[in-house]
Amino acid sequence: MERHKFRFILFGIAILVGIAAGIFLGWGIIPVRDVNSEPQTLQTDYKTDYVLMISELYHQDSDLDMALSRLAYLGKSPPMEIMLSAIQFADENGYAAKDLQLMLRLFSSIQNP
Amino acid sequence: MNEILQKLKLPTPTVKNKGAWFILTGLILGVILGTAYSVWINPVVLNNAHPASLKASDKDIYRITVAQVYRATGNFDRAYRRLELLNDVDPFFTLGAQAQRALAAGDGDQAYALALLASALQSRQPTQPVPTATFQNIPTQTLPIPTQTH
Repeated sequence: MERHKFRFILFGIAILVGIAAGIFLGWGIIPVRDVNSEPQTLQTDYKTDYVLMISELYHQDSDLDMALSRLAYLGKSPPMEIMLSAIQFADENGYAAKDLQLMLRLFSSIQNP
Repeated sequence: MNEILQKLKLPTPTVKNKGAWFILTGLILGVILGTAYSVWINPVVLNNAHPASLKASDKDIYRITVAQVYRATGNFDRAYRRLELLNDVDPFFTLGAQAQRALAAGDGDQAYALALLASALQSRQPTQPVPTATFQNIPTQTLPIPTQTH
């Protein structure tokens, strides 16, 4: 009986060690494939450029619904949050004043529709 | 003493020598569970993806946005740089093919923007490869005219 109990405990420990090794494999060893990424995982500078594109289009067509729909491409975060993050990045990274203005205009329109 | 001897003579139950296989089984089971969890259930999420790594459908959306901005602003250099981020093997062909798909889907507006950018890309790149048979499906100047309504 004792022997069975001992084997059972060892079996449980082996499973736990295996799980730990598996998680280490999945998170650390197996290289993360950089394919089929979602737009919300884009690097901040690319996200900011996409927001700038949306702002440029909004400047042209003044279609706020369309702009919000385009912003949804960048993830489920609230549009204001996406805009704020992009504007902050653009400001910190020396974007042209004209581009910043475009983004601020869209931000303002979203804030006060 | 006799009892002991008797006991010694009794056939002792044979202990099956199972070795340590159960440990190996547990380890393998654990590795499978752990890998499944870390790869499929709770995978590492990248937060620094490049546009070139986007799914094909998301690349299409990115491309159409670049084309629409180009149509709105006429800034070719910026459109070119943005298009380059997608790492298309042949951006001209990719734009043309997407324009055809947009046209087939009845979205003449998108098709026009894409074809406009494709056209600009072709005309402003002197090092453009000589068109071959694979280029025959590329929409021509007749494509941009929206013939279908939504």
